Amino acid sequence: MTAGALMGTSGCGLLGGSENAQQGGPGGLEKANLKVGALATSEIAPLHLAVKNGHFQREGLTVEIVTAKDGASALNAAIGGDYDITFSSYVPIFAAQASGVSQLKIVADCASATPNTIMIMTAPGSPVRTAADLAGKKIAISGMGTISQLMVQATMRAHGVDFSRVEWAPIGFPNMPEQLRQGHVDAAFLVEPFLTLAARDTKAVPVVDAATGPLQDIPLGGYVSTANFADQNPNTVAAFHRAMQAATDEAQDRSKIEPLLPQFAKVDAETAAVMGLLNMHTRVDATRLERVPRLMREFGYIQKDVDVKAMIATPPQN
Amino acid sequence: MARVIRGLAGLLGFFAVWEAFSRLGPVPQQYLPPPSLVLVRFGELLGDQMFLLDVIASVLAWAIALGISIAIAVPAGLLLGSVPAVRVATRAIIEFLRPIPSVALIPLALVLIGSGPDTKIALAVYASVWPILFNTIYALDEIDPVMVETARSFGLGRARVLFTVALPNSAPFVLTGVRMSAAVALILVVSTEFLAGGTSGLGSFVLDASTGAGRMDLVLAGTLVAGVIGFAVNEALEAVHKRGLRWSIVGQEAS
Repeated sequence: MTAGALMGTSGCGLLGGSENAQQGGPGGLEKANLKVGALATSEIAPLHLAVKNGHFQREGLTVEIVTAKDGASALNAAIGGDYDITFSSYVPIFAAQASGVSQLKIVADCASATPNTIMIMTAPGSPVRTAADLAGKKIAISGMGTISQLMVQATMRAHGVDFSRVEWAPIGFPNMPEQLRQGHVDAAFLVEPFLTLAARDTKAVPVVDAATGPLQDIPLGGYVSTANFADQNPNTVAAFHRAMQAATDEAQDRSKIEPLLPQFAKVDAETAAVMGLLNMHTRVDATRLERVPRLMREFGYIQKDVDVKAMIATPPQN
Repeated sequence: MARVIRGLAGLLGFFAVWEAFSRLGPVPQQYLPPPSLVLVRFGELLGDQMFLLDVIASVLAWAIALGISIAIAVPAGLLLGSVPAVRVATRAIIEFLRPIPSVALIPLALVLIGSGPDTKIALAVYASVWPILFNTIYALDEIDPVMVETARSFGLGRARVLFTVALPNSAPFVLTGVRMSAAVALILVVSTEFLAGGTSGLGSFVLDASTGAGRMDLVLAGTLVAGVIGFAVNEALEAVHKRGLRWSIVGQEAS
């Protein structure tokens, strides 16, 4: 009987499943075991750092990182209650909030755009050279209605270019360089590490840096939970935020992140050493964040305003 | 021995074609890396502890799924095969459920069960129950009525006939069903991990490698591992078939 139970536990561990959540964990935590949704992207490096270097452990939290296929499915899993907290880009977060699909709370910020990490690129020798040449062209984005489409539109508008006749081509980032090379698309919206890979492997050239002008330092993604979860687990959410803060502080030292990238995002060490990193911070600043729903409203992604202040779960720390 | 050499020759030929296609072919090497590179990655992965945990997670989920499938499908097959009334009553529902692809149920399973290991196990069970079930049913149909009559005339009851005639007769069919299901279950476990994400597993590894940095060399190396596991499982089950069920292969293979 005991052997069976033991087998069961160790078997579950090896299967990669979560252990049962214990009630009333240490330090007044409402929930000590968290299932956190993530993507295999470099911006969530601090999350992995927090697990690896014991930042969660110090707060009494056990965090299991679950990789999702894309931001939308990660967010759905959180809304459905399968993940306690999830990373997602802000566009689907505010879209869900504005449409009333779910009431969400932003638990921690993640990263914002820095120059040379988010670019519209084209093939070498392409007639597309400047932002103005993008009008009416076929542009690869990661998906319709995503932050990549919003950023292309905002970039084009900032340069006074008409984007109404652009033909959008939803393509996964890994496949964009090849689509450029073969001439299936005229330009592609690329993020790191694909930007570095595209420049190295297909000699792709930048047309315009999307993280400039109105999009300078634009918040890209953050960690959210349902409002229900945040309200019922305020201490857990605060502990999560503190651990992420500590990990993000540590992550400002690039050498802490580089060895992690090959592990969870499978970026080769060579690329990890040269790729640009986003501006990582955890503190949720309503004024900064409000830029995202404002842009979404302007470009018709949402039909009504979002009260960002009311969505922030953790009060600013002293 | 000759069989092994021929098998190896086939494998080498396959790698040679792949290598040539990758080096000269129309697809750039980072999208279709040559086997010389993939095999190096394959070797590196076998020494990577995190990857091995992924493999263990997948194999364990596969084994549990196959075990559950056998536990469900064999008794159900015996019941359906020996009681015609039950079989007629369930035919419509079985024929409705059987063609539904398990991967199409992933979104539903994510909502109902979540993204843990139980999801991939449940989906793999769903897909791998059918081959075993149908093979068991057909096995019972195939029994020579003379044997059953003979057993009856010796005064054996229904249960004795089931255990002394029906089961040994159907065992080879059931095992063939298990072999088919073993491959189906492995496919389902890995593809659920890939399509639904998760914390570990071969499919999650491939997902990370393909979405994180588009590392096709790692993707193919991971795929190769899945192929090797499937091959090993099939060889093992074939060995079981040859040793445990000698009566069913008489005259089939002279080697």
